[in-house]
Amino acid sequence: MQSGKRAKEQIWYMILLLPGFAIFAFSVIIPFVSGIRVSFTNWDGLGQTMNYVGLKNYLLLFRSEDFWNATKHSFYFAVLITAANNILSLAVALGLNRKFRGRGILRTAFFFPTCLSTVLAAFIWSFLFRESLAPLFGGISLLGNYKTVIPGIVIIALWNGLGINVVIYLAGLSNIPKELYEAAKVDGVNAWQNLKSITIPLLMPSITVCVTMTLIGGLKEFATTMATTGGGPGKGSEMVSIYIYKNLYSYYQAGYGQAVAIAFVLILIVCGGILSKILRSREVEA
Amino acid sequence: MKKKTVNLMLCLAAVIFMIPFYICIITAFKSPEETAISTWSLPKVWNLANFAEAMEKSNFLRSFGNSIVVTGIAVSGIVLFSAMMAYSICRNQRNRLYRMFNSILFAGIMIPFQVIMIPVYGMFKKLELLNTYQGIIVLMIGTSLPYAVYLVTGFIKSIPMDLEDAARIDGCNIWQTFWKIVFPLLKPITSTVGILHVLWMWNEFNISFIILQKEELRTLPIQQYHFFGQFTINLNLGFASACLSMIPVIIFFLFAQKMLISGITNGAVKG
Repeated sequence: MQSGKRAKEQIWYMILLLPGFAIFAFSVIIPFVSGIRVSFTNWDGLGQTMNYVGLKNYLLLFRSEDFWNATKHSFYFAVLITAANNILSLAVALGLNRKFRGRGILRTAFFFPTCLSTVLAAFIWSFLFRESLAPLFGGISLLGNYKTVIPGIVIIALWNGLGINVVIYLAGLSNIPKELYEAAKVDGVNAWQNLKSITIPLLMPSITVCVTMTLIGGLKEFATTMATTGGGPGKGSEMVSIYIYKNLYSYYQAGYGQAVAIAFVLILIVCGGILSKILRSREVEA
Repeated sequence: MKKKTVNLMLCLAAVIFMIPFYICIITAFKSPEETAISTWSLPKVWNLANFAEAMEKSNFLRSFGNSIVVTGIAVSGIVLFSAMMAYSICRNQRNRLYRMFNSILFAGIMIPFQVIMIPVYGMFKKLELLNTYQGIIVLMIGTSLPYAVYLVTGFIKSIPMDLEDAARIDGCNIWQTFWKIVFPLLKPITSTVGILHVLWMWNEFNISFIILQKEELRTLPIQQYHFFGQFTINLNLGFASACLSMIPVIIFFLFAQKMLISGITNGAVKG
């Protein structure tokens, strides 16, 4: 009797779990696994023919200048946006973390742009860079120059995403007990020491979350770049995701493109491992 | 004195953040000739003609409707399935099988979109799901579920089981207990998950960009991507279309700002 009831329960629990899990498996797990297979073929992305070519794609990509170029751009973009976003959003959050009139309006000013689509942000900023702000940068658009195109895209992504981290840092700041600052005031501590010895250490969990999220988001970057430059000028802003996309839609080398995707994930796993080791050792010190 | 400097810098930064909106709105009202003279000056006449023309040329109403359908169905799916899955996983945490399901889901958060881009394209081509609503909606739900389940799971752990036990004694089975008792209790987190995903699915670009190529099926971001590229000559039309597409987002924002913020911070803090 008891075991029959348990079995029935299990059926209901499975009915709750499986439909959603099936949709997830269909859209993420199956493509991921079949992607590993595709990376060993010469599929062109158009027809049905798919011949196994062994490790050829991987050998090709390690010798390909374009692949390393794209990897370099992805890392450059990710590091730049992570640093800029976290420094600026922390500064804004510190500024907003006081009681004053107009605080809500200011917060909205930083947060609202995060609600707009990347396509919209890309369109508005391309125009701004080209027409309205060009005089600031010597008459040319930041996006039109091989050297400045990635910092230009970083600016757009900052406008479109800074508010998220501002909000997270604000929540983190509001959790720091006020008494600590009062005690520090009695001890005659200045603002810089306050920041260094109270705020930053106690904000460490939020900082870890924000840094990790911006870094991962930066390495995955696709939409803003696709909508502003499509990887140009030349290959000046061609990041890994754009390179993969081009292999599918422009070069008709889907098999090779998939090998690029897999190789990039492997690089990420190695870097992630190293980074988490560094962060962990840091946390012990703090 | 110091406080004033901080305030001044904050205001300056906020003004910089607002400049794109200023340019966007004034350019939407101007003619190309006026824009050529200066991009910063106000329009001489506040002319609505650009909006009418942009609406027609960019097929605005159609893609707006498409976005509503896709976002509506996808978000409903995400909310319902994530609640069901999270409940099932939370109440079977001693069961190895469910723990495995949970780990696979969690791994799904880590898989970046570009890794599945090509295989999804190939798979959908074979199954004739490219350029279909079924295709895009299934993908949107499937790729969003891991994070949504993760958010709901965190919440369910804080719900006491007493009410469920009472319902079970009254003769409800698991399915009935879930829908009658648990799901209503989940309202704070399901509304957060829903509101976050309304925004994310409304703005979704990566997946739609691969799946929706046909003009009549495109959602707003994809249609705008093509529209902005097409009419590089008359940018004023582009800005009119940009302004139009901001209106629903502004309305949504006014209504949901608090929940958006709490959703973002909850997800981040619990992570």
